[in-house]
Amino acid sequence: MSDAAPALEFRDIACRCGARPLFDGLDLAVPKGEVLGVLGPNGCGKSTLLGFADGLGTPARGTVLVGGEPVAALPARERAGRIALLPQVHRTPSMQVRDLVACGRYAHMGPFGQLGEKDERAVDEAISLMGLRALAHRNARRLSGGERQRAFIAMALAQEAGVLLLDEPTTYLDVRAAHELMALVRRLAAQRGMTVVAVLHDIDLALRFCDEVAVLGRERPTRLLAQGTPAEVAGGPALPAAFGVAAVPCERDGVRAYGLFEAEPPAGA
Amino acid sequence: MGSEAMGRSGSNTTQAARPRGGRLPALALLSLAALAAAALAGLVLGASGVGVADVLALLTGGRLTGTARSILVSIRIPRVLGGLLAGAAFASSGALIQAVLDNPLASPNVIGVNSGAGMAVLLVAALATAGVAVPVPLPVAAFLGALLASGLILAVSSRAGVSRLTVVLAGVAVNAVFGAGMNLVLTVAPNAYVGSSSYLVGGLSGVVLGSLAAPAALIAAGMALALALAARINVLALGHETAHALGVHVRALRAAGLACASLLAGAAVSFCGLIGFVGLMVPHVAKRFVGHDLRRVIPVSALWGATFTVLADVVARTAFAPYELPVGILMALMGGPFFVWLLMRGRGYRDE
Repeated sequence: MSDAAPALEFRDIACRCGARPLFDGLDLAVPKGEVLGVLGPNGCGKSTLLGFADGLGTPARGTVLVGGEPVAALPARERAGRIALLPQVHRTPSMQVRDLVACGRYAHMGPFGQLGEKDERAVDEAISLMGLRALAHRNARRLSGGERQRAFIAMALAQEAGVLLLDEPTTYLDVRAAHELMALVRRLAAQRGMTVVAVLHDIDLALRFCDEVAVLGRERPTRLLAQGTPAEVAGGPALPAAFGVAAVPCERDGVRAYGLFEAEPPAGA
Repeated sequence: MGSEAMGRSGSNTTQAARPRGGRLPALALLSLAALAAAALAGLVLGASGVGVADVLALLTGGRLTGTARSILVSIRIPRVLGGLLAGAAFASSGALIQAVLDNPLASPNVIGVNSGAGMAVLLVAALATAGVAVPVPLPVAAFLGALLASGLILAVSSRAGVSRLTVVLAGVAVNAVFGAGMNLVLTVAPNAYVGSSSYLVGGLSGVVLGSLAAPAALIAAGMALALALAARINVLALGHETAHALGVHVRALRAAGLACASLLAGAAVSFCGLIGFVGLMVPHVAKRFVGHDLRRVIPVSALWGATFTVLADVVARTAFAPYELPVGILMALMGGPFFVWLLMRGRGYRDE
């Protein structure tokens, strides 16, 4: 892991979900400039964590730091300038793609909701980066699932935040669209030096496209079972413990994919 | 309608093909022309004969008979102006409320903003007839009443995890309470308010120029505020979580939007009563033509709401002569079936 301070850090997070503790002292650091995939069984609190990171909720104990500062203490606009979040469920309003992307500049709007030249440039750049130039004046509701997701990511990019949180960005996408999207996200992270945290359900996708993978456990309170490079995580006991599967790498033309086979959870995990 | 325009532009995706760029100015011009025509019809149609020539003469300072002048100045012009103001105010208030509560069922009449305003107006009027002078002008009292109603709704909507349906149901309850309150005041003090017989359904008879000045100023301020808020409130359509992530103070923005909607609806209720239908229907129709962008929906709703209200009032006072219906009744009578037809035609709202 890099020596630099982490871009995003969860420290000693604890919270309850109903009567049961969901987290009790979870620590997780996201290195700057990396794409971190977060895997975990349903209901283990992945989305809750992203919510804490964006100030949507506050944990009962512990803090989330972005660039060393507690998220909860940041004013809304400042927070939006540092962290962008694309929630799992978002509704698509009947709006032109460009107007949708321009929503990403909310924190920079003037008193009458007007955008400046710099904002227009940021919007145009986000649109080109996501390959949406030809669709910029199309109604967002008329896009395919993959195009729509790209439009929303463009909106989050227009925020020009250093940290991008994606909650299951590939849900509803076919395999090809999912791969394209993740490849695009990787490229963006590299080009812009952005830190990306993507909650994913597809283990193969996470292992293929992320620099690092974190695996959350099945038991409550949820623990971080492993965090490391895809190869480390695929070879370790975390995936069998969390999902009851082992990820077996197979290679062709230098591309590594992972096949999933049922596996016994390791004893004691 | 909307789909047609999109289909046309779909083929031309390379250049900056703004699908509605060409249509919007045309739509605006057409709407303005319709508004002018409706206003003219409102001035010349009616029981007593006033012609287009008289209207022109009055506008240009030419000669016209004393009767025609007095009919125009003391009856028709206030009535048309009142209709324009009320229609524009209710329709843009409805557009705001639907966007802020993120719910197509909401409107100032449905969630109790109108009845809150009406209750305040009737209460102040009743107190005045009972000899208790309340040092608050009626439009301001109406605004405060509307603000109280929308404050109650906001309190419900800002509780975490409350569904959009709950918010509207809470509004229906608020509406019921204020509606009962108004009936209570009218039972105890039937003569509290001039024209109180048509107050609950909304009517424009008896509107005089002098009583329009203050509401007109409030409505103008409300429209300006609504347009300034439009781009921000647009972001709420993305849902609470996304809006929050973009840096929106969701609760504060909702409060500002509802306060603005209360200002608009309250000012209108203060002089014409609880005209209901226009605030629900016109924003829906406008959205079908210009999409969800409030920067377009609000001005278009205001234009169409004004036109619709004035036209409905013309029909209300001429079609059943010598009887005159309150415009609110006629509006629901004409608008209801049209609205249902529109919903059926567009296969309803599939995304709700």
